[in-house]
Amino acid sequence: MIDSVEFVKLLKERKYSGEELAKIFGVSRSAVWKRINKLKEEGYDIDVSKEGYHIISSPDKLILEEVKPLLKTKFIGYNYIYFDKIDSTNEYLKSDDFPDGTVVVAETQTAGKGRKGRKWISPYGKGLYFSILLKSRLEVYYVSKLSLVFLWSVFETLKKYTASCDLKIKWPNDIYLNNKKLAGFLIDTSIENNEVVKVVVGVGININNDVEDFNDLDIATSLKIECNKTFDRKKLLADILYQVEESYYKFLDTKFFNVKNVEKNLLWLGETVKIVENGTVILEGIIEGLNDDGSLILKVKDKIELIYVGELSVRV
Amino acid sequence: MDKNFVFELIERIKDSKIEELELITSEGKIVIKQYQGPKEVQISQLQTQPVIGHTQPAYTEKMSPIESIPHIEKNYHVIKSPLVGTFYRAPSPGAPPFVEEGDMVSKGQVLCIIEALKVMNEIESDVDGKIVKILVENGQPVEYGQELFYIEV
Repeated sequence: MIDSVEFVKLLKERKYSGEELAKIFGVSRSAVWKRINKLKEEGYDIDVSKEGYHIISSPDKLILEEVKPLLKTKFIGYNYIYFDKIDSTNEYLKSDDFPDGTVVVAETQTAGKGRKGRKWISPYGKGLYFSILLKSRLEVYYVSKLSLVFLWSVFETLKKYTASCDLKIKWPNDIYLNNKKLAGFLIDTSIENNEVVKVVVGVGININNDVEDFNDLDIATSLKIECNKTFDRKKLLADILYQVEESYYKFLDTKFFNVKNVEKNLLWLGETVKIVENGTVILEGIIEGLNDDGSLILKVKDKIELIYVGELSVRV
Repeated sequence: MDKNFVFELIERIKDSKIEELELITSEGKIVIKQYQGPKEVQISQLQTQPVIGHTQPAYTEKMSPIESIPHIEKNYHVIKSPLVGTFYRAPSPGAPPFVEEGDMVSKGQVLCIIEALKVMNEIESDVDGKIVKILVENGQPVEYGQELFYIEV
């Protein structure tokens, strides 16, 4: 068996002959040749000469061979499942029993889910659409904190890439760039006997989407559109997984997450907003901050209200 | 179930010491309860036996489909909400519900979703049994500890 990650790594370093490769991986030369062809199909540009094989360029795909060498995580992504196309990465992880830390990535989702059955549009190869499975047992009480931990981890990572841009967190769990939606989360948990036994964190981020990929540029955007350059999705994914793992470990260890981290980055903090539920405005007030349980602190006239349901809007 | 049969049952129980009778048939279920008074008082009741009206059974007669089993039912396993949120009976709008009344469920099976701050929490059954009552409507807010399902184990 050829270790594909190692195979690609070697061929990126220098030219290897078929004989050398056959020896290193303990396979026949025809097995090497087959593997080379498979890589070509994946989109690798391979220089083939009498002296051997050498990878000149790699495809912009989130395949194992490309992402694994970049991963600095201990368990998240150790089991890495790649799909060119899938219905929904969250649904896939929920459909069977996978090891803790399994990551499912797809270039596109045919039924990418938002909340309440809404669709998350995933144009092929342009964004990051992935889900992480976590199986630590946790009291139900910590669910809202945990979702903030994930949100903050992705936010912090994206911030490093968008220094000059206005990156904000829209309560309760979206990331906005220059007042438009950049990333969304769909978190599914399984609760048994008042204990969380499984968490599936689905993340969708618009990375290299172009203007024509959006129906309405007033509400959504991508890193590329706002920053005028193409981003390395592989590195971004590896960085996000690393930050998620770090924060997750810390949270499991201390059971503490400072909501101020999120609060200070809230979109429309100190501004007047409307709370919309099922299309109707149910409240209007000023965002005062984020409560420790994840609810929004809204000042309605002279009264403080804690908001647990609904969505924020400044329009309507 | 024949009404006369129920009345007959009540008549038979009336003069007995039976405090509660529960009968489940394929048509439904009836519960008959008879107030016997606190145990200490019973002695004085015996002493004043000639006053018949006093021992008149206070019964509840229930003849209805399984759905309307009274709240006080003790034999059922109760699934309560582990958190504050919105109760959903189906995985997504328009999808068939996870469970219906009368369904058999097994341990680990998803019964509902409670959405809290946009996190979709699937609540699993912790027992094997039959769903006899779903107490919350789809899309309704639920409180911590609120009863959601009665399961006959």
